[in-house]
Amino acid sequence: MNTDEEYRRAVLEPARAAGDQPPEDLRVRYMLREPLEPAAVAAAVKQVRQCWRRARGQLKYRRLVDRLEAEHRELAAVFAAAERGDVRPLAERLRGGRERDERRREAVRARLADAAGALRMVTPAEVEAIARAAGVPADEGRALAAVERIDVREPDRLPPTAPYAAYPKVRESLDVLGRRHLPDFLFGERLTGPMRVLDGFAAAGVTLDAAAVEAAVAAWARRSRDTSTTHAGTILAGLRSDADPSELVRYDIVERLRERARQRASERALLRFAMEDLGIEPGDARRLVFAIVRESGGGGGVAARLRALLDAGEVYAAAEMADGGLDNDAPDEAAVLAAEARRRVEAAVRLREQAAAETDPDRAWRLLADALRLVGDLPGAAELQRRLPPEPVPAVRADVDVTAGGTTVRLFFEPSPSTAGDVRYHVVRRRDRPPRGAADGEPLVGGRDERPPVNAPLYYAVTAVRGEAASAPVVTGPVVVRPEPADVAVAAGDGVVTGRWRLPAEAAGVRVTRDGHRVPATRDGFSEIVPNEATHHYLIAAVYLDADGREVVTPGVRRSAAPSAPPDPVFELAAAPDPADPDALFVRFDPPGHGTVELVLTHEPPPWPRSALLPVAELRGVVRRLPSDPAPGGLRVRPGSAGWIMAVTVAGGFAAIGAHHRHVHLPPPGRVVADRRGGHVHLGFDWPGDAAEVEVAFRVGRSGDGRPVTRRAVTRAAYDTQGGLRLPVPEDEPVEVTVAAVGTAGDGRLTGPAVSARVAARTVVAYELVRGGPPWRRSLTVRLSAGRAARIGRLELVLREGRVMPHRAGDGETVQVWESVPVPGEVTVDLPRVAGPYWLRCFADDDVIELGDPPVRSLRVAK
Amino acid sequence: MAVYGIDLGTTYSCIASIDDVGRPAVLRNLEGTDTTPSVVYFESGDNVVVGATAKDTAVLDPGNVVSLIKRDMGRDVTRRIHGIDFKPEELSAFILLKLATDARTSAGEEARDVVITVPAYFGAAERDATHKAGRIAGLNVIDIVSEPIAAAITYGVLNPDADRTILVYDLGGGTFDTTVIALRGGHIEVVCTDGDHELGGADWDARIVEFLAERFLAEHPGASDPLDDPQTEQQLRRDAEDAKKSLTTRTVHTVRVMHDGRVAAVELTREKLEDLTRDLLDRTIEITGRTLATAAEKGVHDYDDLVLVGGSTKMPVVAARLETELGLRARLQDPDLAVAKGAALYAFEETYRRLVREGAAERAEEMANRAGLSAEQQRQIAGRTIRTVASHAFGIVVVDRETGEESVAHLVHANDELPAARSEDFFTVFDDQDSADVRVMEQAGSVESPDLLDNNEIAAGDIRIPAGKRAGWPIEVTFQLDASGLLNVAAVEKEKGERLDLKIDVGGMSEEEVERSRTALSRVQVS
Repeated sequence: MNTDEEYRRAVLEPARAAGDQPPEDLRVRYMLREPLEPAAVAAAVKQVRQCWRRARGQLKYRRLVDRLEAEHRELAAVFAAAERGDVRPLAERLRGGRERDERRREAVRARLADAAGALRMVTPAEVEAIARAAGVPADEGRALAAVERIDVREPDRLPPTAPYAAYPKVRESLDVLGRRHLPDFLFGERLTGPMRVLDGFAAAGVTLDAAAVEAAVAAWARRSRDTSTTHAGTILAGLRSDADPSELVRYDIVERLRERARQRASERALLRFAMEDLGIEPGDARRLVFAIVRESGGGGGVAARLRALLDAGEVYAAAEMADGGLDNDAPDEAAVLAAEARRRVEAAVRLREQAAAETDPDRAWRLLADALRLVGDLPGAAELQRRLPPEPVPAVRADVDVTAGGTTVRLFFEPSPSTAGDVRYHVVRRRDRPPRGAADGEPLVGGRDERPPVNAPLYYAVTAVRGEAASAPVVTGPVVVRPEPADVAVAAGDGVVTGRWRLPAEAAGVRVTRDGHRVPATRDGFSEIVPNEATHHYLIAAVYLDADGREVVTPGVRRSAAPSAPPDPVFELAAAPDPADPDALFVRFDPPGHGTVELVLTHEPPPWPRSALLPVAELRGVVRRLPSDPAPGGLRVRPGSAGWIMAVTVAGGFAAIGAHHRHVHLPPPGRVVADRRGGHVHLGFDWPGDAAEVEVAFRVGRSGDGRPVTRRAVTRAAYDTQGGLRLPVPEDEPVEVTVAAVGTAGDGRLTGPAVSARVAARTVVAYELVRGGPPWRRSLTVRLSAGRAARIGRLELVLREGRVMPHRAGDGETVQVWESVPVPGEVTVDLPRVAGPYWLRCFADDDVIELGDPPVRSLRVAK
Repeated sequence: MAVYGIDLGTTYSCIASIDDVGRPAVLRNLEGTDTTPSVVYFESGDNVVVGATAKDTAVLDPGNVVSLIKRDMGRDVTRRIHGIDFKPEELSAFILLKLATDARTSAGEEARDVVITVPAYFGAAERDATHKAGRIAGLNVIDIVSEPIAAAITYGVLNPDADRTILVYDLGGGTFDTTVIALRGGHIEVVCTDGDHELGGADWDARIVEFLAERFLAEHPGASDPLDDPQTEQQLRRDAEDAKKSLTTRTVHTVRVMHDGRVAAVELTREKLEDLTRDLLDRTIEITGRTLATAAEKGVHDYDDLVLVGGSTKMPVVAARLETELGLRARLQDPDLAVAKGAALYAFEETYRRLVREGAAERAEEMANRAGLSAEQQRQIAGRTIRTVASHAFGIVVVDRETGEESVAHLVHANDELPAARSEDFFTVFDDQDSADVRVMEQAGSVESPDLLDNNEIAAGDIRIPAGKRAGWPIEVTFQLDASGLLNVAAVEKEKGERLDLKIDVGGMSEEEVERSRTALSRVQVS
């Protein structure tokens, strides 16, 4: 692991986790080692600051690194002193660092203790926030909480509203009867020990269930009737309602604690009230108080609770709370919220009553929707709304669809005129009689009957449903489904037609007719001898028996077949190139007895034996048909690429495999250019077609002098990368080069037509410029020499004034021209009278002679 | 012999030369674009890829890709890649090498003589590092020139007849600076300059990246932070750059943030982008205001043009905000390429002037003729002066003999005209002192301060003192900042007037290290 990674893992990541708080301990921050050595400190600081700079490239570290740099500026003096050799300020600072770290941890512990209070409980979010604020990682915060024996947990979710709507009356009656709470009312003296209410009701010696409630009912029934029994009746009605008794008990306890909390009781007082007055088990009591204190965001009081209820849409509960427990001296905000809750409940109740009186269910539905929008928990409104049926659909139509997958019945209906609410549609099917409601019959999904019973009268009904209420069903029918024979296939052979199908089990039989005449057939198929080369039309229909036993014939399925004799294969085949077109071939064969001949191309040897007969469609997928022109004795084709040319004979949907010919496409290379470049000949050409490689053969010397031919195989890649070919050839020898495309056919190599190019020999003639003669008649001699005797066609001496060398004869003025100069030999001319600087140079106008310049100093005249 | 101008940018670089008709032309790279991303990818220790391919690879292999190198120039920060420590100078050299190699392919001749541009606000260490980067790349660095001056030359060439005062607002990929320049009779005079080289388009991108990551986390609270994954961060940077560019013309752009196998489509509007980056733009406005105040102290009150340079000025909010704040109509003139073109012009003119100065008038004329310049134009170039100013204050650390306290004595002040030479006498502290430390400091903040902490040490060296001298023996130290902002320090012994042996290394690399790097890097394949 390198330093950067190590530093990121050990320092930057924990610091990020602690809210971009750099570690207080400078030993960690700067990777300092004890004992402090000035040189080591300077090196470590430099290395760490480089790490910062590199880490800053990642956005997640940017803020942290900026903070580290800012703090480093404050520490610069300490490190500067250390670098100079005085580590005392740094050591002092390090001691301070440990103390600061300890102080920071101490601060976290104190804050945690404050937050936990008498309950010794905090939420995970609170621990995290405290740790972050103090610059300590969250894990350490949790560890410190554990050390302090502080319980870190989420507060229990307490019921916000009463499980029984008339709970306030129950509470009133409990107070009148002088009972501490519901369990006290139910069990009285039997309730001896502390009770648990949070995870279901539990107390020593008693069980809260229907039997206990019934026992209480029986006990009160025995008592003489007075106002007490009325109050007890109210309480027992609550306990016998839909609400779970243990939930009702929990709500009763919670509500009593909430009431105390609203009255500004301290945590300690609440805990004492829960344990001593209400008799709750200490663990449950702590959890209950913890949850109630955290409920309104840290003791926000009535206003916060009202706001929470209003925000959650529980306006009715808010109004109830306001009616039940709001003091006259409640805060202004709470009073405003309470007034709002009451107003909304009043308006909603008015709407609900209006809806109850309304005869149009749609209008009533909308009124209730408005009421529920105002007060989400308005008692009775949602139930009433759910029971308002929509209008039935206007009409239903059923169509029988026959598809490849089978027969289906599709139902079409207009939507219900009711627009209010979410109207859904139930579709049911019944045999023999119309359905009477949404549940009378087999339900169908999506308005389609994928598997309708065959040959039976069917009735379909559509019901519009909104909430729990359904409209009257709208019925269509009877529909009788009689499917046609399935998977009908009629195949033609040589003078015979066969048919095959699947008949539904319910069908009584099948009726096959050809051109109006009955054809004998079994339940599964038929076979009939017919004349070849004519198309025959068949109608295949299923026959069913109706309820009265009469035959009913379906419209039937039509199929046609044209029997034909099999094609004859081509037994032999000959191919030859077309002299007029190098890309075309003449393919000759004897015409077969029956069928049309086509030529096809395959890239692999044909997999079928000759004379094999296969369906044309199967053949077409594998081979390419070659467009062809008729030619004497066969066809003319342009294969375009190499492969196997095969003759197939096609007749009546079948193809007979014939003979084939291996074709290799090797055109001659085009535009062959050979240039002599000094000791090499450069060869270029257009690459021939799809040849894998070319063969280059070159022979040095004149033809017939028996010199060997050098052959070289060149791949396309080699040719392309080198931009042509360079053949080493002596400069003074002619050379003949031939190029031919090479391809492989099976295991053998094939060579295409070759193209040749000749490059003539070249003789290098060296020359010298020799100045001579007396000063008044200076002369210039051109002395020519060569490896062998030659004759230069035309030699030109050129002079160019200035500092630039002439590169062509036209670059300067001609001093003298000699024709047919023998080599070796020399020619002389008067030295031109020109003031310098100037250049002299000879040029030869000859195809086979190349002049070699003497050293530049003899060509250039400086003054 | 052609000369080239190189704009070595934080995010993109560019090379230009003078064409046959005397106009500056940008040479495209092998990928066919005018600008090359300043990103270096190390496929292996000896195969280095620079440019668009490197930038594409950043998403796949972020550990071996280096970008924003310019921000580290002049700092002693190395990057360890494939086990080799690379200095910022060496990393920049790879970019220069790529530009020069591609220019050779495109122009057909060796690109050797170059002028490299730096932000006006670059200090001596950064300039020196840039100079060394050029040398490591095997280039002959004719000069280092400030980007706004290069832009002003391009501007001056396009508007030759007018005497004008212009404010150059240069917001590049990684650096920002503002410069007030006066063009008078063909001469160019820098009045003052200011800037921040940790402020540029890349910071705009970073804000977008943070926003995208934040929105992704809001949509997928269970997923890990996209910024914890370097590959996702690189992808987000690319997306952010695309979004920023797209929002110069469009008003809404949607980015698909993909991380941890989840996707969030984040919509970014132009207004949101402007809100996210308002403080960055405010910082540029504040620095511009400071520059205008300095210019006012120097007697410049009226401006003819506000020239916007640098790709980031294409954001519509920049021009709009400058118009509202300064009341100047902003002129967006070839913001991506103006600096490279100006550098090419400067390289050409400077070479011409040097030839004339060295008496090689013929060669100078041949060079001018090749570029098709008239006699009048040649006269103008020969006579053109470029006066510039120091970007920061410079000084050395002095010790109070009484208290022993150290402080910085500034000899050259910010916005002093360059070239500047200041000499001051210093005295030895002890008898028989054999050497004296010279610590050259450069102002680090926006105003100068004698406190050591407010200055960066950019060079250190020592003076050898002849034996047997008593305390208080005088030495004259001369600081010279040349017109390119490069620092030279010389010391003269006062008794006999002899030059003392003074060895000063500005910046992070010594001459030997530069030479070593040049040899080592010449073996690396750069494409």
